[in-house]
Formats: sequence, structure tokens, C-alpha cells
Amino acid sequence: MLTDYFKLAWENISHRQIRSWLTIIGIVIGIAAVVALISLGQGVEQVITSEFNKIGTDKIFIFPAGGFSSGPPGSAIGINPLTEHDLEVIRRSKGVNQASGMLLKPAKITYDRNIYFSQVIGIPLDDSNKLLSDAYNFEYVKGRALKSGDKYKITVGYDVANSKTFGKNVNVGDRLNIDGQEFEVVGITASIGDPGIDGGIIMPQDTATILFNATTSLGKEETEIIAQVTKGDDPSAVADNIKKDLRRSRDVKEGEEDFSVQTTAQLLASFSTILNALTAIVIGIAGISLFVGGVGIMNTMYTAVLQRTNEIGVMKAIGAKNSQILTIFIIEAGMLGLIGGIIGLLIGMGLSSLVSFIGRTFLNTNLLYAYFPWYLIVGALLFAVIVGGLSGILPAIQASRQNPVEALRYE
Amino acid sequence: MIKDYIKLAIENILHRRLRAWLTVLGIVVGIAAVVALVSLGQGLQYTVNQEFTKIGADTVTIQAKGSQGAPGTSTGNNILTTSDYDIVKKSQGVEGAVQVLLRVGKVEFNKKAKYISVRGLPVDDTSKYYLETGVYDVDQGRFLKSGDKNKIVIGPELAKSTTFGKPIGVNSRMIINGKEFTVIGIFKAGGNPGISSAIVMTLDDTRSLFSTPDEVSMIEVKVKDAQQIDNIIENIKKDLRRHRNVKEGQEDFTVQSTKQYIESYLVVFNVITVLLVGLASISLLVGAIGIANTMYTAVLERNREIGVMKAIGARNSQILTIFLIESSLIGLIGGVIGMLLGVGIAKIAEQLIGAFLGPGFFQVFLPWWLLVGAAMFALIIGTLSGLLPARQAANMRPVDALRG
Repeated sequence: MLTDYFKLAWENISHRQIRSWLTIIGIVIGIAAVVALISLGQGVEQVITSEFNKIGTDKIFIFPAGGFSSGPPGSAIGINPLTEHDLEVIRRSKGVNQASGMLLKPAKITYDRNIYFSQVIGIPLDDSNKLLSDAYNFEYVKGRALKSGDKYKITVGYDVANSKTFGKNVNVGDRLNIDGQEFEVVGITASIGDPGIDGGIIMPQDTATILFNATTSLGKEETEIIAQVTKGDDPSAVADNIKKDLRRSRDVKEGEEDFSVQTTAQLLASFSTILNALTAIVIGIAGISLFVGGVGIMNTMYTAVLQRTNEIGVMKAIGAKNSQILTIFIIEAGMLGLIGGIIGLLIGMGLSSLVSFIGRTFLNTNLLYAYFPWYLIVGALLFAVIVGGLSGILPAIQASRQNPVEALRYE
Repeated sequence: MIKDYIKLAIENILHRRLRAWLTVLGIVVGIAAVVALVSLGQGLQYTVNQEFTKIGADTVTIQAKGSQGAPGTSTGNNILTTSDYDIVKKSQGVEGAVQVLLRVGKVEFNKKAKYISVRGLPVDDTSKYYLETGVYDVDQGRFLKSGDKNKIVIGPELAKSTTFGKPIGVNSRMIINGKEFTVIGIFKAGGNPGISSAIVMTLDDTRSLFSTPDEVSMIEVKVKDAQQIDNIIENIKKDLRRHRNVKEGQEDFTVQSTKQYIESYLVVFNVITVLLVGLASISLLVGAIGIANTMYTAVLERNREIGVMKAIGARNSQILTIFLIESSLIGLIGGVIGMLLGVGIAKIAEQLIGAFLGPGFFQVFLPWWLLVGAAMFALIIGTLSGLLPARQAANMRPVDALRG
């Protein structure tokens, strides 16, 4: 019985080929756009999530307040910096296994008579160093990491070593001038996708502190501190401990902190929120076309009802129930949606794979990743069927309520 | 003659009313989305442009390179200082120059502390033109004047009770980095967003408060002749290169005219607008397919009619025209309604944004060319979508058509 319905729907759709295809194309376009955008949006989120997971959920990040403020250029200078003393406080906080700080400063780098402005990252060379290299996943394509005892030695980011930056490749053993001081390159880090590190330079923190004169009355300045939570402790509880201890040592009241403490999960959540909002807007705009496609189905179905008025009359005359007529037309509309959904899904997957391919080969980024979870595939098809079915409801009701006598007489 | 065509088209559209409206709806939605997005995008662009041109087309900004780097990082060793300012001031073609110091201070009021950006400006003859640009117009109280000490003017956002828990008025006292300052004025609402939540004080006060006797965050230059601005920028660059001892192409500072600044912003705006409008246009494509579909159906339904018309001597071109006018009309109706709907959406968005940023600050942009263009575009879409169905109708053999 049910297969008969589907057979009938299929026959009717193939009977009016051009118009069926035009209706289907309307759905194809909408589904393709939405599928491509969702798969890219989800892909980007996947990449970011996996980057954060590499850092590890047991890490806590401490920044001076205003660190992410978007004030006028140069305005973030007067912030109350974190210091060596704060690092000590954090190390002694309950639930903190170890903590390490680093210093980030922009600097002028000269190599082969070319100038390049970049970020210098000063990292400690003692044991706490391991925490940073774990969190940022440093690997070296050439040379070695900085080690204890290094002074005027640096490792350069993958992009810095590339000839695009200085007009010629930077190699291990080369000398770079940073803010007037000469440094020897001992290693080149692998590309990790973080522009700050791929395009930056890493040097011993003690050297950086002297070079940038980054000392405060409370010891060395720290731009960012990373703490690792003791195994088994809850990171957000430890973050609260750190907040409490820092408030006391920096003498600020609750709610007036001049620093921010965030766990990996919190950082990730704030990234995801922004990304999701953006994806939602873009998909919403693209989704308008799905609505228009649905209107197209409704239109086609109204036409179909009109053209088959006689047929409906005959069916009713030989005993078809209203519900059966209704089912026939809704299935036909749903099928239009489904066919559009299948083709749209394939085209959408092709599009986002293409974008991802372009990103990898031409833009040199792994961020544009096309992700096709099962729920996207099933969801897109289901959605297309529902759009089709819903668009078919009104025309189908019109068909089912026709008076058989009038319908037979209709010409 | 043309009138007859149009009358015929209207009659045919009215005859299948429901289906015609559904087809029109497809175009309405797309045109409304495009009109709303374009007018919002252009409005935003216009607002930004306005803010910049208030500063003037004859101004140049000089900053140290790297000072726009990662937030939270302080400047490196290549900061600008008063000695650079002295050089710039004497550069050929420079009428006047103002040194500005930007800092963030810990500001306390009503037992709450916040970190707020502080802008230090000289208030003497050197800065007169700069202060008269309207950027620093105050709403209550007065602006800083020569001789003021420990006085500040604050942005309207700061004055609101939402910032410090109670509103700040003229003569209120605020503590910045431990030192007490008196509020003497509040900037106009809806002005430059850069100062709407900032504090402005004299350059001398800023320098002593942050113990930066020599540093300059940016130098704002007014040139003598706006026509010569590119040459003057080159002069300033040359003088600064010599003074700072750097080679050409390796400058550790940037010299940008307001125009260049605007342009770099506008490029980003345009890319975003084009992207969103592109996405919205997808629905127009779907709407166009809807018109094509409706027209194919119409041709099919009117086979006999076409046959009769041909039999009594209608030429192919006349049949073509009949169907093309019909599809164009569907497009036009959709375009006009969509345009009105789009204008409505844009106006609502304007109200919403106004509620956030203060009324009058943001206005959607609805030039006549956008409105006419949207309707015309819809008309063209209608014509193009009708082309294939109309040709099918025109090329029918009368015998076949009559047989139906």
C-alpha cells in the first residue's frame, strides 16, 4: 500500500520533468549552501577544540586584565602587569602542580638587511619550561630547543624561517639582530598553526627581560602565566583558589580584579560562543533560500492539484478517502524535498571539501576543515523532507477537500 | 499596443492568484534580505567614514610600528618620543602637530575600580585646530583649557550609572592610579566611539601620572595643503628616517593619512558586506527559478490560447513579448514589495542599534539608487527567468498548440 503511494508520487514527478527539476533545484541550492556552511563551521570548531585539547584541560591561564581589551592602539600599555611575585603566589596556590610564566614583547628584527616586526616570546629555561612546550606543542624541524645555560640564542617560528619573511631562508647557525642585540638561531619550530608562534621568536626569558627592560618592583614581568592542576583536582576550583590568592597578594577586591584567570575549558567556551554566533548568522542568511525553495514546492504542488483535479475526482468517485488523497500529495511534496536534499547534500559536501582544499593548498591553513558528522548528513536530508512535506500540506488539504462532482466536471 | 500587453499580463497573473503570489513571495524574500543588508552595511560604512572625516582629510597620524601589535604587549624599544615630535613639527608642509599619549589607568569611583583608557592631549595653541574638529565636543561642563591641572573630561558611556553603579556628573571626583581628578565635562553622546568610554586629561597630567616624561603614543599632524598630502607624508617619512637612523623601506614607524586609514577599514567592511549579500542572493536565485517554473506552467496551461493566437496571425515575437512581460511583472511586483520590506527591516535594525549606541549615531543608508536598483534588479531577474519558457511558447507549432 505504502509503496503504491511512493510509486504514484514518483510517476507524477517524472511526468512533469522540467517543472519538477526546477522545483528540486530550488531546494538543492538552499541545502547545499547550508550544508557547506555548517560543515565548515563545525570543522573550524573541531580544529580549535583539538588545539585546546592538545594544550590539556588541566591548564589554567592567567593574564593581566585588559589583555584582550580592544582599546585604541597602544592603550593596553598601562595595565598592571603580572610579575614574578604573582607567579610565586600561583605556584603556592592550592591544587597547582606547577606554573610557568612567559614574556611577550614586540620587537624589531633585522636579518640580511631586512627589517621585520614580530613578537618575541621569552620562556624560562628551568624545569617549568616543560609545561610551556607541552601546552604549545613545540616541535623542531631543524636544530634544537633552547636549553638551560643558553643566553643569546633563539629559536625562530616556521614562518619566520621561510624566505617570504626576510627574502631568504633563516637557518640554524644564522645570526639575527633583535632590537640592536645579536642572537644566534639554534632551532626552527614546526608550524603549529598559531600565528603568534609561527611568526614569532623564542628566546630565554632572562635575556628577554634584560633586552626589554621588563622588570617591576616585584621582579620580572610576566605577560602570561600557565598553571597545571594537580592530578585529580577540579581545574575550575583551582582557578578560584588562584583568583583568591592573587586578589589577596595584589590587594584588589572581588569583582575588581586587574587580572583574569581562565581554565582551558573556559577559554574554549568563550571561543565557541563567538564562533557559534557567527555560524548562526551566516546560516540564517543562507537559510532564507531554503524558505524560498519551500515556497517553490508549495507553488508546484498547488499547480499539480489544479492539473489533476479530474484525476482527484475519479479517485474520489471510486472510493478514495480524503486522508488517502492527502497522503498522496504530501508524499509527492516530501519526495521533491528529499531528492533536492540528497543532491544538495552532495553538492554542499563537495563545496566545503573544495574550500578546505583551497585553504590547505593555497592559504596554508588547516583551520578550514570540512567536517561531516552523521547528524549533519541525516539532519540535512530530514530537514529537506520536512520542508517539502510542510510546503505540501496546504495544497494537499485543498486536494483532499475537493467535492468529487465538481472535480469531475472541472476542465 | 504596449498597454495591451501589460493589461494581458496583469489579467493572467490575477487569474492564477495564489500561485502568482507564491512566486512573488520568493522574490520578495530575497530582495528584502539584500536591501536590508546593503543598507545596513552602507550605513555602517558611512558612519565610520563620517567619524574619520570629522578629523579631517588634511590630517596625518604617525605611530610607532608594532604599537598595534598583540593586545597586552607593551611597545618595544622603538617608541616615539618628543624628539620625533619636534622633527615632525618642523617638517616641510606641516602646519601643526599634536602629540597624544594613550595609557590605561586604574580608575576608582563609588568604591568600584575599572581599567579605562586615558588620553593625554596638550591644550595650548599647538592643539587648537585638533580640538576644534568636533571630536572633542562636550555635552555638559567644558573641555580642558590651558592651565587645567588634575581635571578630566569623560566619555558619555563612563558617566552612565551602569559603569560605576551610579552616574558621574560634572564636579564628581575620580581616583586614577591613586591620584584624585575632578570631572569638568562629559563628551557628547553618539560621538567618536574611541572616546565614548575614555578619559581625557592634559598631556602634562598624563605624563606625570604614568611617569612617561618623553613618550608619545601618536602624533596627529595637520598639513598645509590637503592636495599635497602624499608629498608631505614623504617629507615627514624622510625627516623621521634621518632622525631615527633607519633606511627607506625599513621604517619602524608608520605615517598614515586619515584617508589611508579609512580605506583600510572600508576594505574589511566591504568584504563582509559582499559576503553576506552574496549569501542572501542565493535566495534570489531560488526565487528566479520559481518564476521560471511558474512561467513553464503558464505556457503549458495556455497551450490552446497560444495556438488560437497563432492561428489568427500572432507572430512569434508577439507571443514571446506576452510571456516576457508577464514574468517581468512578477519580478517587479516582488521587487517593489521586497524593497519596502527591506527598508522596514533596516529601519527596525536602526532603532535597535540606536538603542545600544545612542540615537542618531547610526543611520541606515537608503539612497535612491539602492531602492530603484533593487526594483530594477528584480525586474531583470523576472525577465531572464521568463526567457526560456517564453521561447518555448513562441516557438510552438500552432497545430500542436491547438491540439493541446
